[in-house]
Parts: sequence; C-alpha cells; structure tokens
Amino acid sequence: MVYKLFACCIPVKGYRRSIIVDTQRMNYFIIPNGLYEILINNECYSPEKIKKELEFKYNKVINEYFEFLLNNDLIFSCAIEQINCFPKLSLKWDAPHHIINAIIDVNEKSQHDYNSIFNQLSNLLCKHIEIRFFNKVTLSFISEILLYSDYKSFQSIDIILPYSIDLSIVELNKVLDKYSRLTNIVIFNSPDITEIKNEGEDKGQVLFIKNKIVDCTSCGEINPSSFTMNLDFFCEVQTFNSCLNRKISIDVTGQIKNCPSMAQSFGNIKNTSLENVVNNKEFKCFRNIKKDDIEVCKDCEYRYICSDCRVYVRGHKDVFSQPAKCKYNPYIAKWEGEKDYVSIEQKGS
Amino acid sequence: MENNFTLIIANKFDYCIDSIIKWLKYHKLNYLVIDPDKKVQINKIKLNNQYIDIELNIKGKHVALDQIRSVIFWKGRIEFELPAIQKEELVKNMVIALDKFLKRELNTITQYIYNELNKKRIFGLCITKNPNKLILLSKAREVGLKIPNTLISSSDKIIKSELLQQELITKPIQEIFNFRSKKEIHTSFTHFIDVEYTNENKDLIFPSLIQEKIEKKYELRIFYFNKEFHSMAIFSQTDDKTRTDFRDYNYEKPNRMVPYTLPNEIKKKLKKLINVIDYHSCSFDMIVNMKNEYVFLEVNPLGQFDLESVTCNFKIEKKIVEYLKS
Repeated sequence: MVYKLFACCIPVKGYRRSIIVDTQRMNYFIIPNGLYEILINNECYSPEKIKKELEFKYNKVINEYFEFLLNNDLIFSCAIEQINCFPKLSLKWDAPHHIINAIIDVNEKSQHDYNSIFNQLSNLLCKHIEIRFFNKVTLSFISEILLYSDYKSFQSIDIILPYSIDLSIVELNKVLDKYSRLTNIVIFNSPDITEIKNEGEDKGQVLFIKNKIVDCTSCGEINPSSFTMNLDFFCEVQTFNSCLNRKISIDVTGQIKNCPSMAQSFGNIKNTSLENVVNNKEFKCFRNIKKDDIEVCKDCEYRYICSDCRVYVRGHKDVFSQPAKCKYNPYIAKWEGEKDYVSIEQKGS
Repeated sequence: MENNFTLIIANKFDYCIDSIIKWLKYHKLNYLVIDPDKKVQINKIKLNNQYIDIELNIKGKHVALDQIRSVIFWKGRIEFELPAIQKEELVKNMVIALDKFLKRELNTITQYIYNELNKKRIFGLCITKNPNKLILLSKAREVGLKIPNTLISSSDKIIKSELLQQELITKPIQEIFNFRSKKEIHTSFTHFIDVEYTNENKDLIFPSLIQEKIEKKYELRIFYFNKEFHSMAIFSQTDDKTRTDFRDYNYEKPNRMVPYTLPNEIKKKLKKLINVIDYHSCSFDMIVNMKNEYVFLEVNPLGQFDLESVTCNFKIEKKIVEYLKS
C-alpha cells in the first residue's frame, strides 16, 4: 500500500517554503520545501521507502509529514495496481466569455449611456459587472440604470456607492428584490459596519463598510484576505494575468481601459466600441503577463492563489515587476508586521 | 432562421444545456431551443419522389430540415400547436377513442421528424421512453461487467431470508420517486435495510428490488462522449461521524473528487455495452469495491455531466460544442 496526493491538492514551491493548494476545499497549507520535493519527485509515496532513502536519519520528520498529510485529507492510500488510475488535473483554462469582468466608474461629471454599455458588454458575454459611484447617488437613479441590465449576459452585478443619510434599508431591499442578478450593494464611508443579508437563497445583500473609497487608487492591495483558492482561478493564472485577463473598464470620463487605474486609454466609449478594444492587440497584451513572468512573484509560493496589479508596481515603469502594495517577502517568508520582516528593497534575492 | 444551426430539444432550466449554450454563443454559432413552452406548427412535411422536405414554425421562426447542422436531444420533446376540436356533441366513449386516435396520429409525425433529425450530427439521445433499467443491468452482465447481486421479490419471507445472509440495500427499480406538496418533499434514494425491520407478518409486499450492499473504496462517475471516457472518482466511504451528520460534513468538507483513468479492460467492456444499447453519449455509475473490482451500477443516456466537468476540469460542454460544429 502506498499514498497518493489527491489531484485537487497541488503543491506550489516558493523560495523559502512551499504551499499545498486545496483547490476543492478552497484552502492552503504551508509546507517546508523538503516535503515539496518529496511530493513532486514521486508518483506515489511509501513512508518506509522514503525513510530508507534518507538512511533513517529523518524518521521522526517523515512521520510528522505523513500525519499532517493524512489529517488534512491531502493524501489517500492507494493499491499498487491503481496508482496509474489517478492522473493529475488538467490545468488548461478557458471560459465562454469574451469579457468576464467589467468595471464602470461614475462620478458627478460622468455621462455614460448605460443602455449602450450594457448592450455591448452583453454581446461580449460579460459575466460580472461592477458599477462604482464615487458621488452621492439616489436609489431611483440606480434603479433606472439597472432597468437596462435585464435580459443581458450578466450573472452578477455589484453596486458600490458612498454612504448618505437618505439611504433607506427598505428602499435598498426593494432594489435587491427587483433585480435578481444584483449580488452586492456596498456602501462605503459608512459610520458603522452592517451587513444585511436577504432571506432568499439567490438574493443579494447590502454591506455598509467604513472604508473610504474615494477614487480608483484604493485598489491593488495584496494580502492573504484577497487569496483565491479555487481550481478555475488556479488554472487561469498558470497562463494569464490574475487581475487583467478578460477584464475591461470604463472610467469616470468614459475612457476604455484595462483597469480604471491605468493611464493608457483605448478610446472613449462615446465613439469607440468595446468589441474593437477587446480585439486590440495592445489591449490584450497585459492578459498574458502571468505570475511566473513577474519578478519576485515568480519566487513566491502564493503566486497561483494571489491577485495582481500591473499599475502600482515596484520597478519604475517595469511592467514585469512586483505589485507595489504587496506586503510579503518570499525570500524570508515573512509578512510586513511579522518579527524580523524586511522589505524586498532591503533584502531581495 | 439562419443556416447551419444547432437545434436543441430540451427541458427548461437544465444546467448542462445552459452551459452548452454559453459555448455556442462564444463561438457565435446559431442555435434554436425547443422547450415544452414552445409549441411547434408544421408548415410542411413533403415526401415526394425527388426529395424530402420538412419545415416547422417554431414561435414564428421558420425552420427547414436542411438548415439544421446538428441536434441536441436532451430530455425534451416536440409538441404541436393544435386547434380546438369540437367534442361537445360526442358521447364520452367516443371522445376517449378519438383522443387516443389523434394522439397516435401526432406520435407518428413526431417519430418521423425525430427519425430525420437523427441523421444529423447528434448529442444526447432521442428517447420517448426511459430505457428499462433491468434490461440494461442484464445487458451489462452479458458484456462481462460485474453487477451487484440483485433480487426482485414480492415475498417478505424471501427477502428476510436473504437478509440473514448479507447486508442489503433497496432502491427504486426504474426512477426516483419524487413528491412535492406545499408542506413536504418526498424523495426516494438508496436505503439500507434494517435487519430487524418488521412488516406485521404479512408475506405479500409490493414487488421490490434489493441488492447486496457493496463496501466501496470509491464511486466512479463516468461520462462517455465522442469515443472518450471522462471519469471521476468520488471518495464517499465516510466514517461513522459523517454518516450521522452527512449534510453538515458535506458542506464543510466535501467528498474528495478527482479525475480517474479506467483500466483498458473496463473501457472495452463499457464500449461493448455502448454498442449493444446504441447510445451516442451516456453516463455510467460504477463502484470500485474493497477487492479492487469494478462493479457496474447503472447507465443513463442523459446523465448530468456538469459535476465532473467542473470538478475535474474536463470542459465537457466545450468539447460538445466543438464536436457539434465540426
């Protein structure tokens, strides 16, 4: 009898340590690089054989490793004749959406034609849209916009708006009731944190948060709370950028960009079609910057569960440099705030 | 209607069909769905000495047979828009006889349309009746697949005497029983038979299926399509703790599900069975028992494949659309 790793549990090596990403239960486990080597260099594992190969010097460590792997349901015992029945997962990625995620930014000066924007996004089979209001806005105005979102490709719609004393919970719930695809209404600058969950299973929720989102510069933060541990994401980031792949945004003035924080515009929505932009080679080039191409990130064990940012980066105008707002140093395996942390600038590879 | 489109004959709100449609849209392929809400009018079915021509009117869309490139048959059926027929003056028995007659007339038309559609590139299966599960089980046995020892009996005594020898399960012979009222939902799944069950000593029971309970290492869900097997192993052999509170466990810690490669010997037998029953695609449920033997449980011509497609990243929907357009 030998052990095999469940195919959905995938080891990722970092400079100082590794992780096992449990893509099924959406979790990750930090492991030493020694265990990573054992897991990656063998098709299946026999603790006794491994101990023997290490001349019985590390029996206790090997026992601990297997206890950990079994306790977390990462490996299973497999009959010798069935070893070849358990292949690895394919990590090929694709999705039936030309655009997966669109952000539309709005302030008091914006003059977006929502009907046209939603039609164009729907033709691109866009899955999620996020509308961010940076100015005070009435619910009747939001309702008016959402009318155009009926019968479109969108599976979910998020609305972000600033707190205002006239926002009534009853009225918010009415909006949620009316538009089934509305998933979240996030209200920032709120005096309190409140979460109003709706009873119905498929209904959206209202979140009041204290964060002060003033404009799009409050983006690009990288920390464990933004990690994504599912298989679709894991596959996508093997080949594509974890922030900009199949994304599009329209900023407050109508400029079409990869992300609202970017300077480069591919034309204004008033006179440029989204489909043209999506097919533009230059627009698409960011999609192919994967974590394995990015300095520092390529040495980090979290690279396949982590988000990315191509705007706020460390190297001046170097599109392949690490996100500037990342608070992790993989060369010492420490987060900012941990004892003995030093930044990448002080101690890189 | 545009040329070269895919006709989809399906039920409403089917997850598998919805995800196939997403890929059709992505590849800008034309399609038309006939679901039970869309009644069909027959413009013409022409059978003459030079050619055959069928033209249907589906909610205002005129569809000719040769415009159809491929067909998805998935749990749906074609239903015709019918005029109201005056029956008030007829006697009751005459009405019954007439209804039967008209139904047979319509059936012949639909069967003929299905027959012509079946000559196109097909995904799914055109069936008017669900295949008999007992016949399928016996055919699996004939191609050399191991099946669970199965007994159907209406004698309580015979079942009890079997029970003395081994642990048994019971399940519906053909389909799952489903009953929903406003107050309650009843669904029949597979159940273990309690050794000490009592039946008030009446011997005659409703004919019931019982099977040996197989200790499983893992279950296999196998989706067969376009000569390819997409198999997934489910580690559902749960410990006592999970058995008592399964739902809770399932949510926090779903059963491990991973891709699986079937041994060639099993693939050969399954292919033989597929040839015998003549399915384009189907899904198999199997068990690998503690002796590493493969036990056939059932085959379903229209089994859902979304779980294995997503969990094992098989992208089955994408492959189906590539097949339909090729």
